[in-house]
Amino acid sequence: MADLSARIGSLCLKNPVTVASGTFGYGLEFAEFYDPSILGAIFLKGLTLLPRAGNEIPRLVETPSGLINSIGLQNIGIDEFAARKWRELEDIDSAICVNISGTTVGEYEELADRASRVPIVRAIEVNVSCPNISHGGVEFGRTPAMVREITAKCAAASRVPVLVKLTPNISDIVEIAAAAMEAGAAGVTLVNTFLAMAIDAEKRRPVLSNVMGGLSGPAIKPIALRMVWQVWRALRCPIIGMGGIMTGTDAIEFMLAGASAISVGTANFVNPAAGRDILSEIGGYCERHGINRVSELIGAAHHDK
Amino acid sequence: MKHCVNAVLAGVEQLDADTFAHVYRAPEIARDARPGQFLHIRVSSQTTPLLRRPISILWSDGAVHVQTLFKVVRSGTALLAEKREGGLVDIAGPLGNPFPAHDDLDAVMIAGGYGISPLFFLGGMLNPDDGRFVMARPRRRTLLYGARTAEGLYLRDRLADKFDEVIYATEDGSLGARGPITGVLGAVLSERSNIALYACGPTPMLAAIINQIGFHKTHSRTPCWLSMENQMGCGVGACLGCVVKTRDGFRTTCKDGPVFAARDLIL
Ligand SMILES: Cc1cc2nc3c(=O)[nH]c(=O)nc-3n(C[C@H](O)[C@H](O)[C@H](O)COP(=O)(O)OP(=O)(O)OC[C@H]3O[C@@H](n4cnc5c(N)ncnc54)[C@H](O)[C@@H]3O)c2cc1C
Ligand SMILES: Cc1cc2nc3c(=O)[nH]c(=O)nc-3n(C[C@H](O)[C@H](O)[C@H](O)COP(=O)(O)O)c2cc1C
Repeated sequence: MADLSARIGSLCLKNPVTVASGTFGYGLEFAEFYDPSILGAIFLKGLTLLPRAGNEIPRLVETPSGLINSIGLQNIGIDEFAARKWRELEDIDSAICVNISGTTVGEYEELADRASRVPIVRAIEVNVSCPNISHGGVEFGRTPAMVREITAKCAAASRVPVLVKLTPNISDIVEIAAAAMEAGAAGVTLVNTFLAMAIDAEKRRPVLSNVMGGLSGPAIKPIALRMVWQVWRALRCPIIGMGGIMTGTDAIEFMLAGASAISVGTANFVNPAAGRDILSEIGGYCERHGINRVSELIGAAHHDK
Repeated sequence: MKHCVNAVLAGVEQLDADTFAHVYRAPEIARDARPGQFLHIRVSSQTTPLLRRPISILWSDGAVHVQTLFKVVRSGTALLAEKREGGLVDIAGPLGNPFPAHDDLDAVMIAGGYGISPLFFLGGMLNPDDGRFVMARPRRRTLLYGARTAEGLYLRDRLADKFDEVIYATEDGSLGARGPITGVLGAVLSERSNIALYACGPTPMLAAIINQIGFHKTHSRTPCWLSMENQMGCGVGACLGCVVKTRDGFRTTCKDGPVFAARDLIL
């Protein structure tokens, strides 16, 4: 049996298989299908300072090999999480990571501080794909300067490692990842969803109530993989890779491109035991290829033959 | 308990040009299935269409088999209709909350089209002579069943052992009363008291039911349970894609529903 442990800076995971924020609820929704304790980490649904109702439906639309969502960050808010919700997760033996979203730097700072005080929380994931209301609604994740500022503030406020979840909706993923790492991130998670839309030709209207949403699923995999490759090549920093991972082979490809761990998102909807199955497929791959430590695979596709 | 299994498609019956009944061999699911719950079916092993399709449970024998009734709408249900007997189908279930049942109230069930499915199951479970177990023992089980045309009224030959009384309505008048089934409901609400209502059908039909109850002040306390349809992502309350508006804010159809108390819904 290969050593499957994974490290993201100072964050140690028992294996590289994590589940992505927004696709695994508050950690227990899939528990009847398999024990979530087998996962390396669980990224909870994005939290904001105040509870959010989210967008009107339709919030989802299927596209070829993909899914566009505009949930609108419906969530219970940090108060409810810090006061009660976290206790439901106390018995899960997996690294619980809280994903945070704000509209100002101050909100992110407060969220990082408060979420990191919750006893079970092992890392904060900063979702920078949110509009910055102090800058005309431009997403924080669009400029290195904003990413640098928000990362530094969150890292200073948090008692646990801070990961920065990057948006792919930019022209140079490397400069954004570099900004996050320089400002004190333990690693970067990439990628979030791609801005997309669908139109109903019969109704002559956009399908989603919010017009635009984020594309996820197998359709985005080649682009996500390319971004992981570029960031690893330039920075050699800890990366949690995601985007369309459906199988163990997909997960291995992300590790070969440079990811230290991977995240399963939309696949949870297609196969409610996707996390379990991908983990066992990674184990099988290591066995077949005589890999002793899964970490040997990280970035291995970059090595000269 | 929820399960995800590769079930053998043990029986296929074509009811009309685009309506099918399936029997799946899925003991884990059959054991726990209750009326109002649904299956989440993966229609393709490829990635298009990507999401599972929610289909109500028409019947469970409580031990081995579960049945469904579905209509081909577009690509996902078309792929489901292409499955052949003896093949395997990837099914998660049973998902969602079942209909509650009231012992001492007459049961009035209202179905629109393939919305008959969970009510057929419920009718059986409310009938000591038919159900494998009895959820409740109402004195009378009435089905009000509507569709656009008589062809849309499925399983007509199988309703007699589930219901004491079946009243049909079709919009074209080809069977039963002419017009929407909620027209018939109006008369039932005027005449009867001590009833509980259970309904499944298109959302406009459910909204019309809520309206009807509003007109009948004597029924302000009548329990009314509505099974909702909504596009779903995960099916287990994780993605928050399938919300409905309730007095308590957005609730998920897949986990908080699909059965909701009419008084909670804002349609
Ligand atoms: C709880 C529940 C129980 C259901 N039970 C039955 C049943 O017993 N028999 C039956 O024939 N149909 C049932 N439906 C409706 C069925 O799920 C849809 O007809 C089906 O998903 C359409 O898929 P498609 O690929 O053919 O259509 P498409 O329009 O191509 O589907 C595109 C997307 O929209 C979703 N979608 C489209 N129409 C509906 C709808 N009416 N409700 C929910 N999602 C929809 C699909 O799941 C898919 O994600 C039920 C729906 C729900 C929510
Ligand atoms: C329904 C849905 C909700 C999501 N919610 C969040 C969220 O709250 N915060 C976040 O950082 N990412 C969110 N994401 C993005 C995922 O975490 C992931 O980055 C993305 O879906 C790409 O991975 P995938 O293709 O494997 O799904 C969401 C994705 C989906 C499909």
